Amino acid sequence: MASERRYCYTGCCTEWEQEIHLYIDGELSPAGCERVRRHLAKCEDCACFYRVVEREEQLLSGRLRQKVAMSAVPSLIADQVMDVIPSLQPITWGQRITKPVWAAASYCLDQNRRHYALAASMLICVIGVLLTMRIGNVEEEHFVHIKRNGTLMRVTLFEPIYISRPEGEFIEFPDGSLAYATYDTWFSVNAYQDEGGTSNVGTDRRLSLKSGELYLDVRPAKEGFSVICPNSRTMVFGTQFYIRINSGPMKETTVVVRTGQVSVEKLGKDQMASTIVEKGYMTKVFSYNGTVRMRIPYKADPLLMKRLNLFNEAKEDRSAQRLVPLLDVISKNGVLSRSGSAPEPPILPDILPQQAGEVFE
Amino acid sequence: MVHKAEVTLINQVLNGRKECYRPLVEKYQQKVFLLACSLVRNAAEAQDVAQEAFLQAYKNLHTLKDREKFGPWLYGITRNLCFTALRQMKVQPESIETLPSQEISNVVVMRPPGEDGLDIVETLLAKLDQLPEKYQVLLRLKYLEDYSYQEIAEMLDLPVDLVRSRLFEGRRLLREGMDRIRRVENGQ
Repeated sequence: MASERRYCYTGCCTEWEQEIHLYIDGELSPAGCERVRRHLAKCEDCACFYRVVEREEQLLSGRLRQKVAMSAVPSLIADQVMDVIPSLQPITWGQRITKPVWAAASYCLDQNRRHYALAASMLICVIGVLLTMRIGNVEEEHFVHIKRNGTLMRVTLFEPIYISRPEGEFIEFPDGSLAYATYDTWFSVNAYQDEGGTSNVGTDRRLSLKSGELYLDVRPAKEGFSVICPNSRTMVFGTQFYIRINSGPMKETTVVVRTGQVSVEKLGKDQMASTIVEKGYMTKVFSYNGTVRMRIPYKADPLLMKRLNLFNEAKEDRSAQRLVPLLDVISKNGVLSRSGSAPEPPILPDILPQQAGEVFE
Repeated sequence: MVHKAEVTLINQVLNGRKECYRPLVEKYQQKVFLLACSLVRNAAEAQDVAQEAFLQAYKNLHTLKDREKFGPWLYGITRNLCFTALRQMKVQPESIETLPSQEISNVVVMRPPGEDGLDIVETLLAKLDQLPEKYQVLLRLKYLEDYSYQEIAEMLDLPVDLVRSRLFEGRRLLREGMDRIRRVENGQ
């Protein structure tokens, strides 16, 4: 009987077959998952179907990826494309104006209206060039030199940086401060002292985190180091901490401190408030009923502390691969999935907004 | 949700800042490559298609009306390049809907008993190649990178419900006949 039931593609309950596939694919709501789990606990045929199909799907996926030789190819594409780009000319704003002007000018010239054509063309081309150069509002660009996975490169301040490597990247700043950014993180360097750079805006150290996660090991210095998120600003003078901002419309910033202390300030239209988060503690800044709220610091989630500890171990050799298990841990706990369709991080059940003193107004 | 940083980068590229194109390529290179892989089924060809898709997108960036739709627009360029490549390989497709279907073979390669999982996987892989293209493309995208139904729908410009039903139907077809064969093996 055991061998009969071992392969049971058609043995499961018909009405549950699609639900089980959706469950395997992670496409069900938490309530839907619970419904399927309860059924699998009661129905041996469906449970057998689920076990067999889930295993085969994993093996099939692995085998297919092997055939396509997944690991190396995609990351080469950016290098190849950027090698060709310098020889290409995208159409800029100035060209969009001057191209049709030249076409009109050619027509006028053909019609022996040379003097009108020439005057009009020259005037409009000058305007096009001015628009392209943005005279009157020329932005002097500032740069800083950082290392991305060991490679030194120059980045423009305020310019978005995107982490495309599945294993994430180690970013080293001019003062030796270190960050590990996970896959699908967007951030920018807004200010940094850089002796090799052309200039700097201010003397402090500032990052802007648009979405994703950063693990930070900040070198002590008299200049503050701050990370600005859409709804918060976190500032330290030298410590190790973790910060995450989700990419959905309801922004929630999470800050966890491994060593030292950080100051977290909530940003919003309403009254400003800030708190100090000590070693081993965490806080969240989130939207609630249309306002920005912040939790009183509480004991850090053990999982998040474990991640920070792993970061601390991996930082010496800058090994992003050692941190890959972090990604697996993150995925399994549904905090951030690698596919990017992230469920929102859960609010810890022992913290309730209505408890007195728990949430800043 | 499209990130505002993407729109910023597109504006910067249109202002002549070519280096701002790199983060966009890095963000989409994996998906574009896998989409191409699922359609042309050849990694080398897929790499060429992906590179060409980014270059075409760069040259024609000024034609993109809604800058928040860079991703779907890029996937459209990729799909068209794939169909062109397939035509050159003499496969003659016009769209995912009209890609030629192949008869599902009832002949399954029988292998000597071994590690059950791997034997079954090789059989399933062989059957995957025989599925109609409209199922095959979706299954390949799902197996290669475990994209969500929403992401697959975006990459192939299909409704999510259709993705859901085709994945389900594709998996049924993939395993059709397998149970019967196994029951025969078990002496039933």
